[in-house]
Amino acid sequence: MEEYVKTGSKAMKDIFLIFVIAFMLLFIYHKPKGFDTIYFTLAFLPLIYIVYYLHVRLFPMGEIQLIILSSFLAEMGLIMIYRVAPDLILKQIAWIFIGFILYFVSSYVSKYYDFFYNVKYGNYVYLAISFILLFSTFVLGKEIGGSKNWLTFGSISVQPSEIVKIIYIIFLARYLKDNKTTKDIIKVGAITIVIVGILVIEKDLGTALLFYLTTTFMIFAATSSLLYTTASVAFLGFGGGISYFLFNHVRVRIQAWLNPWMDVPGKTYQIAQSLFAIGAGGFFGTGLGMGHPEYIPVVASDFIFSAISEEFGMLGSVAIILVYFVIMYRGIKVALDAKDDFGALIAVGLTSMFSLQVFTIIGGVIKFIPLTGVTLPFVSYGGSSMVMSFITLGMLNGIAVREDEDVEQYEPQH
Amino acid sequence: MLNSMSRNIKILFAVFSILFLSLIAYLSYFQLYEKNKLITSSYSVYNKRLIEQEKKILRGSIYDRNGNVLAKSTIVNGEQIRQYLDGVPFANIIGYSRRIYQQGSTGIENTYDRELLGMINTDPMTFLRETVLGKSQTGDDVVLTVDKRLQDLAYNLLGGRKGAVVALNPKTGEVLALVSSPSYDPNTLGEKWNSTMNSPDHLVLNRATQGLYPPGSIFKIVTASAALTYKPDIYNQVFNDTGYVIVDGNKITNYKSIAYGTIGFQKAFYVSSNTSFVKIGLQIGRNDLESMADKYGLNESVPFDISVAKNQFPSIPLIGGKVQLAESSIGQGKILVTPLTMALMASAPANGGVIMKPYLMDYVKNPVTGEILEKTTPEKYLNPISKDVADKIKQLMIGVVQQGTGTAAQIPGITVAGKTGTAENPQGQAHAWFVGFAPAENPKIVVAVIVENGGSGGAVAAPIAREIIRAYLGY
Repeated sequence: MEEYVKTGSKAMKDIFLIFVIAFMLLFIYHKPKGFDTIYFTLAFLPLIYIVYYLHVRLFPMGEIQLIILSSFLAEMGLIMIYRVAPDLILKQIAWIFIGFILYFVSSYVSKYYDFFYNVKYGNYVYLAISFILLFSTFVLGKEIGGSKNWLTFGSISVQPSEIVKIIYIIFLARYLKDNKTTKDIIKVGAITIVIVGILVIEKDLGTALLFYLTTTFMIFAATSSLLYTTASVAFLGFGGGISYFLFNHVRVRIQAWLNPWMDVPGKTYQIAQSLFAIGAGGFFGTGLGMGHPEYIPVVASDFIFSAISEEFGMLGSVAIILVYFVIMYRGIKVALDAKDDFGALIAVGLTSMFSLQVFTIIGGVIKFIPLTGVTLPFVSYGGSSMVMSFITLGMLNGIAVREDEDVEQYEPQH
Repeated sequence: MLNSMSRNIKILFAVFSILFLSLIAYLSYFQLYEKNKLITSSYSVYNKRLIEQEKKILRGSIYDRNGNVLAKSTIVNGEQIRQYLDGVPFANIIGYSRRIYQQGSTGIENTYDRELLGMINTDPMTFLRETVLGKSQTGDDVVLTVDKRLQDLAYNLLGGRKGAVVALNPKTGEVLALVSSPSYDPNTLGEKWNSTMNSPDHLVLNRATQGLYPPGSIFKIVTASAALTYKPDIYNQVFNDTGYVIVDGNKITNYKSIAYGTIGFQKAFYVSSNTSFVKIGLQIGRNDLESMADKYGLNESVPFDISVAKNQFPSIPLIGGKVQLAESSIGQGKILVTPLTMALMASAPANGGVIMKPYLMDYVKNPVTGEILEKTTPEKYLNPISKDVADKIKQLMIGVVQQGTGTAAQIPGITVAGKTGTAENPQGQAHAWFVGFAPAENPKIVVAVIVENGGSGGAVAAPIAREIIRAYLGY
């Protein structure tokens, strides 16, 4: 425990230093508009320290790494966002603040995750909420960035599919814990395909892929069946092929992936600019403020990884990937140590969804896989993504804490 | 928790680990291999970073074969300015760069863009680092095979008339002059972009390499080549020239309908008798004539440093193609060729039957150290005729200048060989053609001249060729 806190404090010091150096440089390059920008930006430092010590206090046996690593990622996001779009930084800090609060809330709630299981008619309730949220965008939705998956309330835009991600994982865990016959799996597969279909029609291809693969992985964890997994992957190929011919937006993505030089001024502009940026960065990067990430479109959200690659080089971007790797590892650890199958399945689902999202967007912007617009958790600009990423880690922490606190009950009391 | 689930979760961990590692592996692969392609390929047009960085590189100069500067860059008030020192006569060769006019590139500025930017023999990593560090770089210099004196002379000889002149060394393929007239001034292209691009005189068309013309009688070199190669006894035949010949009801006449009476093969070539050559062509037949045209490269694009148009020798139909065969034998009908191709055609008899690949870039050098970075070595392009046939055609061409249609090309003290052409065309008066070389014993220069709608090749084009040969050989 002592050792643990020591390592944690050291990591926090590094995060502190990186922040100070990066923003000193950035404030020289891009003079801040006003003092409030400086104050709010600097407020990030005490914020993460308070969160860190609160975490140590409130969850002594909790997953402290999760909060340290997500603080680091959020910091990298802030640095790059200030670099490419200084006007967005205050909003982003506000979202990080809300994210931290919801991290603690979801940690506390998830400590009692049995409640999710004990809800009466739980399966129906979760499904009903999921579908209402997904369909709401058809009725009230607004198209932002080519995907019709946003709801706007005044100046705030929410992506309902982000919320559905978590509700659907809870549903799957609850369902798969008790229902493992082939008939059950076909049922849950059919429901998933309907959801994926809705997302594809809304042009939210990335999220559709995340839902599909997360479901596949959860079914595998619950049933150990290679048959289901193989069938699922085969169906993915089949469905992908069909939607290639059916939907123009799917076709454009695949073609741009196969040949990003086909139509650089038009269809493949984004991916081409992303590759130019990554290429310009090389192994060591151009240095913060020395590159031209502003040439990349939607750089603050979907393409933030390309901007990091340009200015921090391959070394910096691999470091980011490794941070996600560690978060994934902790998520798997939480699943393995969970007290029961329900908790383990939720943890597997959350970890899968999170890791796949990271893989989808990084793989997309480096042209390893076709590009689909999802955000890079904690780093990309955007409220829904930031908040839901914190809730995801908060729930993992809650499941972990639950386990540890139960163990403590058996220890002799002093 | 069930044991099996714990095992499954570990398998999932392995799957995710592979996914994350594959990202790192692909990134490494990208930085090691793919990236280089991005920087050096044509896609870099869309990379604004490179354009920014290239502004910091002082673009290399372009020289003629004698060290005369043709294009150079200087910095004026922090802005790089490209100057063309002999702009108008060289515009069709040197062209312009999109880095200067933002609207496409042409000519040497386009073909040797990377050399002029100093991007060859520099690995992209170093290139990027140096530019990021703000080190000012200089591009490399390109030295051309062209002779500024000849180029200027040829341009002036055309005197604003529409036409082209190509001069080359038949033994190496070095292009000595490549003129297209009228031309434009690349120094003021920016201001006059629209009027230059839309000019009714087609100022930006490089007539020497992209102009397609009927060859007329100079094509008789190809017909004679086919005759001497495939039907050698034609050389000893005698023709009754009445001034015209009727093929399938179509009357084909001699130039000015002159009747030469009973003449041999040699005389028919000297005086350019259409009547005789139609008869010769009909004897050769479509297969052999087409085959010889192909051997001369009349159905392809000549490989060259700057863009060329594809020559056209449409195949003659088996049935009902007699008229086309007759017309083709005298270079009329559907044949279209570039002046560059005609200069190459004439270099076959000049060089023992071998046509060398034409080239404009002699070498690329580092402006500071003088180190030669790239050098063109002469190579064989085509070999349409044997040495024996080549020598016979050379003799025929000497006869043309000494006692035939090309006497205007005579130079005292030098044996000039040549062939005139007066190509009928739908646009109006005939195009005046002349191809020739000198000294015939040891040819050092081949010249092709065309003056659009100029009239008689012997009267209009041959004197231009004569002056160019005289200037080059120093007589």
